Amino acid sequence: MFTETELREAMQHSAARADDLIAAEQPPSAPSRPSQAVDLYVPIDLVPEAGRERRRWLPLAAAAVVVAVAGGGLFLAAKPAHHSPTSPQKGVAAAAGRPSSAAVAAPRTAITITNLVTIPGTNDYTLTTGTETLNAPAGFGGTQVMALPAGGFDPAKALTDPHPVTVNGTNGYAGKALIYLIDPNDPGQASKAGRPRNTLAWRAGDGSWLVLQNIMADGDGFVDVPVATLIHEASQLKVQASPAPLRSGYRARWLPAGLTLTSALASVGHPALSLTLTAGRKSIDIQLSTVATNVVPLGGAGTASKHIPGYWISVIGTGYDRATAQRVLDGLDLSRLHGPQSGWWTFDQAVNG
Amino acid sequence: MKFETYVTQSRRRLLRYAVVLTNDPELAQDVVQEVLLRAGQRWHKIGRLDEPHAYVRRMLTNEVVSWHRKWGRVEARPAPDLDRAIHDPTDVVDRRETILRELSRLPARQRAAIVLRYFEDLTDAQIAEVFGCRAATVRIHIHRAMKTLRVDTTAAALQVIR
Repeated sequence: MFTETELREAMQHSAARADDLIAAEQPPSAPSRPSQAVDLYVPIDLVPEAGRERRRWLPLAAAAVVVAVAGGGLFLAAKPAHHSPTSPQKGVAAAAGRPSSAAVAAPRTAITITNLVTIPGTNDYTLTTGTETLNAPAGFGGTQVMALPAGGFDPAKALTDPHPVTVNGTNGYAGKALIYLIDPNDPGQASKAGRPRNTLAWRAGDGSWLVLQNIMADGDGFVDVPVATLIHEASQLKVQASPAPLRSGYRARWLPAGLTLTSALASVGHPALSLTLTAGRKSIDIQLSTVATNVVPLGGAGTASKHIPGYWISVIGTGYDRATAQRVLDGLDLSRLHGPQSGWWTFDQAVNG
Repeated sequence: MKFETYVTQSRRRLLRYAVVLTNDPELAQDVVQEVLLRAGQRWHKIGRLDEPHAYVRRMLTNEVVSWHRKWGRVEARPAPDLDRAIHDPTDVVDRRETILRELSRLPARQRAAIVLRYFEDLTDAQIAEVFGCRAATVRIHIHRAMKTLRVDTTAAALQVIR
């Protein structure tokens, strides 16, 4: 029989091994790109091999993913690769060859996202299947607006004790909700951490639901903005329903077969854009960055990147080899990137170029 | 909070938690890397939460639980100091190794519940938030795990009754 004290002490002893790992890490030497960098490993692929099955990671020099940061010079991982020397590095091996011929004649890429509304002054749009999240324009504090299709939201289920309110002459509801709980794409409803806060829901002109919450926290925890304040802020938002589609500053002329465009980070009037295409557990992320805050792969299996004036462009292929990522990157049409937004491509054109 | 600030402040804490949770330092390192990579990509949302660390810890916990669910029973690779055969005359080290070995053999969710309770010092309600279940379910996980581990549950039992 053990005691609870022994259990606690044993776990503390076990945790000390983490300190050994950190102590064994070496700081990155002479980074070739933004001097402040955080190195993360990305999985070569998700396909299990015989024997002990676990994800494998490429060596730092070959496949590190650099998350360039504004400051700090953080060092996340300098762990040497521990994949078996007897197991070939599929991605590296494949990089010397040709991409799979099965994807030469790629079928049309499906799209499950669209922007339901536009709010002038808002440049940060997160589109996922069935939802659109917008950070409210400057001057609206820390409120965030989520747009959901007419049939994609039920205030009676999403809000606790909903009661009717009026927003700019439109009927709506106010109640309590956990942040992002209304987001069907929140993986595992992980944001249940936290307490329910005042939430406002009302309809846009085309019937889409708009949900407004304060998402900022202060030192003492979340700030629960009064419903009256939320209504006031909502009435100030110039929501445009059924807007012109958001556009991409680049288009992909080649993609592996079977992908669906499931997520995008987009801006109005700015080409900073991230597209995520998925096929089961595989995914292709195309990321365009103008500032040093995005994931920028240095190269290696599953990743490819390049720098053009003003932008870092990266392709991260989870479950795909380096050759595939490189082919996607090489196929990107960037000819309109520096031109006016009116000349950019719709999402459909961007992934079916 | 900026992502790099969070990583600076919390990576060691996450790694310690992951090592205890997995009993496999290399796996722990992998999982922490992956979770931080995903968290970084979603930081525009996570960074605005009341408790970003609670969110990331939940991501980490779910990753480990789902990892074991996907790959089945994977034998952890204990650290060398847990594998040595030198007899410990004081019995302290032997007992510690035994309890850690038993801990690593628990079902993933029971193990996570134990680690969250006795290493992260979370309440039943907080663990329930991590798992997305009721606090009563957490108590069942912990009760079963403590029986398996043969830990004196007198105090824990009293706490449940309270």
